[in-house]
Parts: sequence; C-alpha cells; structure tokens
Amino acid sequence: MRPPFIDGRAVLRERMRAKAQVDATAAQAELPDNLESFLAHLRLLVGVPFEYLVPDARLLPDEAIRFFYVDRSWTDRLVDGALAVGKIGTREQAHHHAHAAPVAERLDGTERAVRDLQRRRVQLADVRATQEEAPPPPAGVVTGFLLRSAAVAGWPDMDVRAFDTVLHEPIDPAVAQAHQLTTLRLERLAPAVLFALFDGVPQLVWCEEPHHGVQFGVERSAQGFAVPRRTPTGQREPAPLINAPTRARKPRVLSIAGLRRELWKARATDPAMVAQTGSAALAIELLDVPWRQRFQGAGGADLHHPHAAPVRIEIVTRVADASTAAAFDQVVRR
Amino acid sequence: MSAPPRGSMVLYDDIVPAFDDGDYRLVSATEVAFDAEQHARPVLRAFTIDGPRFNLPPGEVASVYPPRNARGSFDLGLPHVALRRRTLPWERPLDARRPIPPPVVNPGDPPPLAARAPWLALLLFEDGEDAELLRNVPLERVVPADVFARLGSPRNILCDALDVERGLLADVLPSKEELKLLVHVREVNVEDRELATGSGDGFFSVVVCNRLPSQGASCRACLVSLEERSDLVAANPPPEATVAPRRPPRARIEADSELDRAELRPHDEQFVMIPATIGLPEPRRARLVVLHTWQFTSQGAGRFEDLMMNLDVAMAGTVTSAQPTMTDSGHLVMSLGDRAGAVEDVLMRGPLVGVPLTRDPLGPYHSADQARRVSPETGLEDISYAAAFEVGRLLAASDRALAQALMQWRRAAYHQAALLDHVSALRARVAWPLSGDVLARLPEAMVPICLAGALERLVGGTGPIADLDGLRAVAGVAGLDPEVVAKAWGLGSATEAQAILAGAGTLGVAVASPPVTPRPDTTLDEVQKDEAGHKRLAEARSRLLGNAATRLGGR
Repeated sequence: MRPPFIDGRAVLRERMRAKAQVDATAAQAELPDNLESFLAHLRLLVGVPFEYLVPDARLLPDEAIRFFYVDRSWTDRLVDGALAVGKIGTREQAHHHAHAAPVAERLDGTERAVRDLQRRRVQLADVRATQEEAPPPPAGVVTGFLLRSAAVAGWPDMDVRAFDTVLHEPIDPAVAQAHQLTTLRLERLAPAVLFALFDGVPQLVWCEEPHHGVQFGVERSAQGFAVPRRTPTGQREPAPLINAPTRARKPRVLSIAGLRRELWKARATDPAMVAQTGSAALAIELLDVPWRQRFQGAGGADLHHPHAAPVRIEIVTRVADASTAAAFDQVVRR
Repeated sequence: MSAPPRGSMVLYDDIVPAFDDGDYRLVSATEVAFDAEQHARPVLRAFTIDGPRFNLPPGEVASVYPPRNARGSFDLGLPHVALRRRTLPWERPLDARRPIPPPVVNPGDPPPLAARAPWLALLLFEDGEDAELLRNVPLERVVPADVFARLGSPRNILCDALDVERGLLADVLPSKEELKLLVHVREVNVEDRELATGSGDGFFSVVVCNRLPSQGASCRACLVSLEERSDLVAANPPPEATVAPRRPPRARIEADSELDRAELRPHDEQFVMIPATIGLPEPRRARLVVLHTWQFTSQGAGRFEDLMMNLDVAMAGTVTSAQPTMTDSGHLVMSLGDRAGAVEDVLMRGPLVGVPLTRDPLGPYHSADQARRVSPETGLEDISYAAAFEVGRLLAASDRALAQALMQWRRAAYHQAALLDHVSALRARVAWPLSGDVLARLPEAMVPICLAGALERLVGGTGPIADLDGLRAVAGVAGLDPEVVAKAWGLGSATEAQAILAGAGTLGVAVASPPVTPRPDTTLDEVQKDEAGHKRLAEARSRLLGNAATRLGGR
C-alpha cells in the first residue's frame, strides 16, 4: 500500500500553524449569500424576539417613544451565536476565531443595505459589487427609536426622517437631504409599535403624517369648524381662524358658498390671504397639510424635547396670473 | 409648460376642453374659380368626441381619500377623488340651456363665478341614511323622462344608480355655484410621491366633497353625474346654521340625525318653509347616476398631532414609576433559575440602550458562558450578552437553509486547507523542479500548472539530436558486432569476423557524423542579392514553360 503523503500528525502541525484554515482573502472564504444576508439582518435585530428588545413591557408604555443607541456588543454576540451553530470541535472554533474580524468588517458594510434588501430593491450581489467599487466607511453608531402609539396603527406609512443637525423651519429640501441620516430600518413590529434605526446620531427626528396625496379638511373651533388663513403659496398665517359655516339642516355639511363669502370678507382686511377667485383658491384654504412632529435635542445628543411644527408645502397658484390664459391654451389646444 | 418643481404643486380653477363631448359635423368647403365659373366642393365629415358619461372605468380614478375600506380618524377631512383626466369634470355641461338661474347675490357677497359648472359631484352618505346604491339599472329608470330626453335618449345604457330620499339629497347636494368651487385641477411633479403612480403628465382633476364624515360612522362616498339634472341642482344653497347658538363640539359627536333634531327646534319656521319651496307634487325619492363609489369608516383615537404631541418622550431604559427595578446602567433585574436549580437575581439589558457604549473588542465568543459577566458593584451576574448569543444561535439553528450555508462556508475552507496541507507536505518531500511562483500557486490549480510547465519545455526546445543519421544505433546492432559474430559463428577471432563483415577499418570504428552545413537565417535582402540563384531559377522556369508549350503544341 502506498504510504500517504501526509499523516495526521503533520496535518495537526499544519493546522496549528495556520489556524484560519484558509486566508480571509481567498475566494473560498467568501460568505455564502444567504448567510451574509442573514447575519446582516441579525445585526439590525431583524427577527429578534420583542422580549429581547424590550425585556419588560413597562419599559415601553402606551403612547410613548423611546430613543436608543444600539449596543454593538449585543449585536456582535448575536452574530457569534449564529455562527456557533454546528460548531462541534476545535476546527470550527479555530475557523470562526480567525474569520470573525473579516466577517464583522464585511457585515459593517452589508448591514447598511438591509433596508434595500428587505424591500427587494437590490440583490446581495449588487450590494457586493457597489461595495467593492466604493468601500463603505467604517461602521459608526446606530441609533433609533421605538414608538408605541395609536398613531402608528391609525396612520400607517408615516414619514420618518432623521437629521444630523437641527433644521429650522422653513426647511430647504436640499439642505434637509444633505443632512439626512440613512434610515437603516423602519418597520412596524406590532400594529401599534414602530421600530426605526438610523446610521448615526440624530439631532432631529421627525415623524410626518403620511402624504397620501394632500388632503382637504377643516379644524375644530369653538363655533364648530374653521379654516386657517393661507397665503397664495399655501403658507399658514398666524391670524385667527375663519369660521366655516355649515348648513342648518346638516351640521356636518359645509356651506361652501358661505365659506367663500367668509373668506372673501376676511380678504378685504387681510391682503396677504389668497384671493378667492375660484375653486383653486378655495382648495388652498381647505388644504389639510400633513402634521410634522419634531423631536430634537437642545444641541446635545439627547432627544427629549418634542417640538411640533406643521409642514409647509409650496403651492403656487397661477389662477390669478396673467399667464394663465396662455397656459390653458397650451394645455387645451396642444 | 414645464412641470412644477418637486414638492410643490400648481392648482387650476378649471381646464375646459375646446369642445364638449358630443356629435359634431365638420364642413369644409373649397371654392375654386376658373374659366369664370365658381366650383364649390364642400366636404362633410362627422366626428364624435366621446368620454366617460354613465360609467367611469376604474382606471380613470387616480386615488380616493379616505382610502377605500379604510378605518381611521377622518372626521375633520373632506373626502375627495382624484381623476386622471384633467378635463373630465368640464367635458359635459351641467345645464346646457341654463335652466338653473344665477344665484342670489346678497350685499357683501363675492360676485358669482364666471367659470363653467362641472357635471360631477362627490356626495357622502352615512349608514342609516335613506340612500341606497342600485347596480346595473337601465338609464331610463334612473333619470326622469325630460332629463332623459335632454341627454339625447341614449339606448341600452346600464349604469349604477343612487336612490336617495329627496329631502336628504337637497341637504347634501351642492348648489350650482358650490359645484364650481368644489372641483379643481392639481398639477404635481410626477417625481413626487403624491399621486405619482401611473400618471403620465402629473395633472389630476380633484372633486372634493362638502360633507365631513361623522365620528364613528361608516360612510359611502359616491361620485355622481349631474348632467342635465336641473331638477335637483339648486341655484342657491340651503340656509346656513346661525353661528352664535352653536354649542361647542363635544368629544363625541352624535350622528347627523340626532344633532338635527336637537338643533332644529329653534328654527322651526325654516323647517316649515322648506317643503313649500320644493313644491308639492315632487316625488319623494330621486335617483342619480353613480360613476364611482367606495366605503370607509371614520373612527379613531383622535388627530395625529394630538397623539404625537402627547407622547411620553424619553431615552430607552427610562421607567415612569419605580417598577420595574432598573440599574442606572439600564439593566433590568430579573430572576433566573441557574444550573444548580437555585433562583438568583441577574441583570439583563437588551440591545437598545440609553447611553452610547463602546464595542467589545474581545471577540469572537464561542459559547454563551464565555459572554457571562459579573457586575463588580452588585455581584450580580449580567446575562445580557449570553442571552444575545443564545438568541442568535437559536435563530440561526431554526433556519435549515442557513445551517446548510454555514456548513458550506466551513467546508469550502476545510477543503482548501486540506489541499494546502498536501502541497506543503509534497514540497517538503519532493525536490520540485518548479519556480517559487509556480509553487505558491500550486494549491489553486495543480493540473493546469503541470501542463503549462510541459508546454514551456516543448516550446523551449529539446537541444541537439545526438545520433542524427542513426549510425550509432546501427553500429550497436548485435549482428554488426565483430565479437558477437565471431562467437556466434565459431570464428577464430574478432578480426576475422571484422574482415568478413566489411573489411578492415570500417566496422567498430567510431563514425563521425557528417558535418551539418550551417545555414544561417537569411533575410529578404540577401536573397535578392543572390544573382546566380535568380538566374538559375529563371532558367528553370523558362525550361518548364518550354516543356509545357511543346506539349501543348504537339497535341
């Protein structure tokens, strides 16, 4: 019988010398796609039972929001635990030990793509390709919030954004975009519990009423219903509300003609208001802009002070404009 | 016309099409004069402008608010419907012959609008009101006979209809002037999220309802056609509620009907007057063509802003009361049955912490026990990271495909490691005649590298051939060896055999190979300089040509 090239003793010696089994840069050390994806999701606590996130229900009472930092050591232990599956001997252990650092580095990049992966916008292969082209910066602090409120159940798809600086109203969309922190995760864990993770430490977080089209509505006042005064660009004026009359026989049917009359009268003394020339001007008055709830700190990292500011939307009315006729002509006779 | 910038929108009062829907006749006449005669050739063409009239394809509806079958706090929102055709509300006349008189203008009222009245309106009815939706009703049974005649008596039309009590309809239906105010056109940037899906140009016509849903009511909104319905649409809206005696709204607002009774007592004279103005022989019920309808329920916990403003805002780990017991590091004290069976207090903290923490550099951990800690201040065990390890392990183990991927990842590494071991063992044992570069690449691809090496040798050449003419080989043949021959044939000596074989001095003597004529590489220039060679070639060619000519000539 031919003697083997190598015996057990020699193998052991070799393994003692090269604990990594295989170099981390070798093609064979590449994580399989679904393993990498799973571990990246695990890093962002996807699938972790709620009892682990909030060990006691009293830590997240009803109608409360809790901001937090994500404990990176905790998520690293999650990944360690996942990689411990099937670890039956020193060989697996040595392999894990040698590859833990490159795997962690890799996941630091992949975890930022989890939201896109969750929404099936990209494939993991695409993520890898982009990261090879432009390696992501090292992983930083991950923060977020847990919100338990009837608002979560009643207003699905609310708009949540975080910024690395305190933006002041009115907000320039370009500046807002430049300062926005990447949302790593935004999910409802239960019908009334919203979970959000951001890449970085925010100075301002806002939750906006969902923008399902701009809606129309009125406000409640002592006399029944009222509408705010608005300028031709939809900005709300601080002046008192204007009463919205209703029909005598149906108190929830607005008297549209009466509302126009009230607005017409108010405009006579308040020229900043939109002129009631027709349906577009009335629509501006009835616009119910989405509410934007701001959470911001006094400049530090704490997010304890909520500030509410209504959203401003830009509305341009060309109704009273001289160029309206020309615009219509172009539209209609095109 | 450029689209509005992102995040803004442009509103128009109306966009009226150049022509109404209907049948048109186009007469085009060309008059030609020649030979002092006039020749007129009129051309008659008919065309029809058609659009949705008694049915509206669902695709024409871009969005509705409140969402279909939605539940939520809509009691301060006006329902509306957005249509994809910007001209749709103005494509048909409300009253072509203007039987609806202009509204009464009181002093101080704004002047009536000159805009064209739309033929669409959005009506809202609540559960318990006397309004019924009928499906697939012949048009003749929906509209009165005179309206049917003014619509052009279209045959075989089935449509959906709303059968509603006339007094209720009069209460909710907008007047002609109000109709103009409730419909507008909205132009948004199609890049915007709002209403952007499937819209080519960003224009939407929007029909707004004039009625607010009651709290707790399930509602049905109906987009109805009012074309030629001068029997229903009033010139002036019904009387308004007087502002002063209205009670402030309560937290729970009853349905309309209850409030009606409560509020209408002081206005009894108005109540009496209304039937008189309607006229006595009017039928009790009216029907309307329904183009689109949906339902929703208005109920909810209040407004978004109220809920958000009243949130309890804090960092994670904050408790409002003394319970549960927390350490200032955000750890929760909980009891745990340990391995010995004893119950002990331990510290547990989830991944969500109220203060920034540094990342543990002592990784990786191979078992949960490795991650257990003891708090030096209290002596309590901290199981946070051990719990994290275990939950990660359980999550991974519960996923079969994942466990396979994990094994695949390890196996690839082990396989490669085994290969490396063999290579290093071989290197130690065999003096491998390959370069260091090749050796380093050995574990990757043994066979290709061997092949490449062999190929290199072939290309590099095998050196000079030792026995070019085969003489040495021939000389080595047994039959030509004088000593063997002598022995075989019993000759006296080898010399004798040598003489027999080839005479003296030829066999057994080392034969020198004839010298190989060196033929250096030549160049084209040198070949061209060889005059004699050229001459010989020319002669040979002419000779061949001569031979060929002779043959051909001889035939």
